Amino acid sequence: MSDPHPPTPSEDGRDEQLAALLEVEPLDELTRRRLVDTATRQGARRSWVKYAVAAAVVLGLAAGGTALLLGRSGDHPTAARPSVRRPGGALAPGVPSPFAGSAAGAVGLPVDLGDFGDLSDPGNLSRLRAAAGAASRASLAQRGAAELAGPLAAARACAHPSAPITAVATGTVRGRAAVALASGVHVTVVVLSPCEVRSVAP
Amino acid sequence: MPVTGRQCAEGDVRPDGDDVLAARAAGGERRALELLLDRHADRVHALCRRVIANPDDALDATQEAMIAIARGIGRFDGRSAFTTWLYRVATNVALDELRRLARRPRPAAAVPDSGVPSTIEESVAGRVDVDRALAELPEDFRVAVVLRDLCDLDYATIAGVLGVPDGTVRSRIARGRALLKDSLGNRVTAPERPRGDDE
Repeated sequence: MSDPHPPTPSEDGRDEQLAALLEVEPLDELTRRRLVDTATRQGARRSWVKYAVAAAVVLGLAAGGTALLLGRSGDHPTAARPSVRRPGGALAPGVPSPFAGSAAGAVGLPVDLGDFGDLSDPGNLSRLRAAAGAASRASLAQRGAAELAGPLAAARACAHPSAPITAVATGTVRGRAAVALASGVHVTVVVLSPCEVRSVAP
Repeated sequence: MPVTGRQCAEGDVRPDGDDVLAARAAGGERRALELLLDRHADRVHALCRRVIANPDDALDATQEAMIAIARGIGRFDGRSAFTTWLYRVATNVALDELRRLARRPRPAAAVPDSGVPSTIEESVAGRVDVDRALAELPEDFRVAVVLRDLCDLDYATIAGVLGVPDGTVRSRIARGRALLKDSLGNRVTAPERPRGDDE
């Protein structure tokens, strides 16, 4: 593409008249502080999640390897047992990881529905409910269980869900990280830091 | 004092300059990231405010943009000035937000209509006019004019931010300015009509 009519030097410069009209008042100190703090926290949280994922993967592989070795020895009854998680998503010590056996992953762990973006958006929530409904009826592939461990634990600690969590999704609400916990078709959106629980009608 | 782009420091390598802070932030130094975000919050907000006419939506977009910057700082490789990268991220977020809002049914007019009560001060009416005139501008023209005349970026930088050729940027700015001046009427002098577009 080319410009058949290159602008004159004056057109090349800034239009001061428009610039003056377009000027925007600076943010007030409180708003600026809030924006910066939230963004910094979210950035740091991402780093933390990366480390948590790496740690969880290492832990999972180590536990899986141990379970595999014990299973091969043929005398350990827990080798093929499904995984067990403590409330909050942490792996219970002394039990195989969800990565250890073929039956694991389908038992006791919520299905990861993925990231749904803005969880205050009605369209996204609608898609989320549909996905949660599908997850409660069918067994979906377990993805990223380790990655979800941290956010899931934080969401559980915030929401104290009474019903078993069948599926989980991530997203944001007004720029804050959020986790959606689904029990069947009932979805609760949990905004992390500070803790805020929003129930979504099925 | 309103925000202008004049203070944008391209390739600033002072100890507390953007590029140095960005490198430190990319290495995980939280304080450096905080300083960077604080320094550029007004610019990001000004960009979002003018791309998205609604002040509340613009504030949400500002937050999203700053989160995107905080999360993406590790990918900033220093090949362009930090401000160029920052404007690229902020522009993309603002445009995403704009498109998302366009898909969402709005309960009330996002941009104030022309029925401004006469009791409202002239300056407020002026801001309403600018918001409405910008909202009426095609998205591509609006972003180009905002980056040039509000953020004071040069044509080559805008081309880099938008990922389009220089000629397209020039054309969009010329046409955007003309349409904006038409729309604003007597608030600005009569526009010189652009002579063509390469798109």
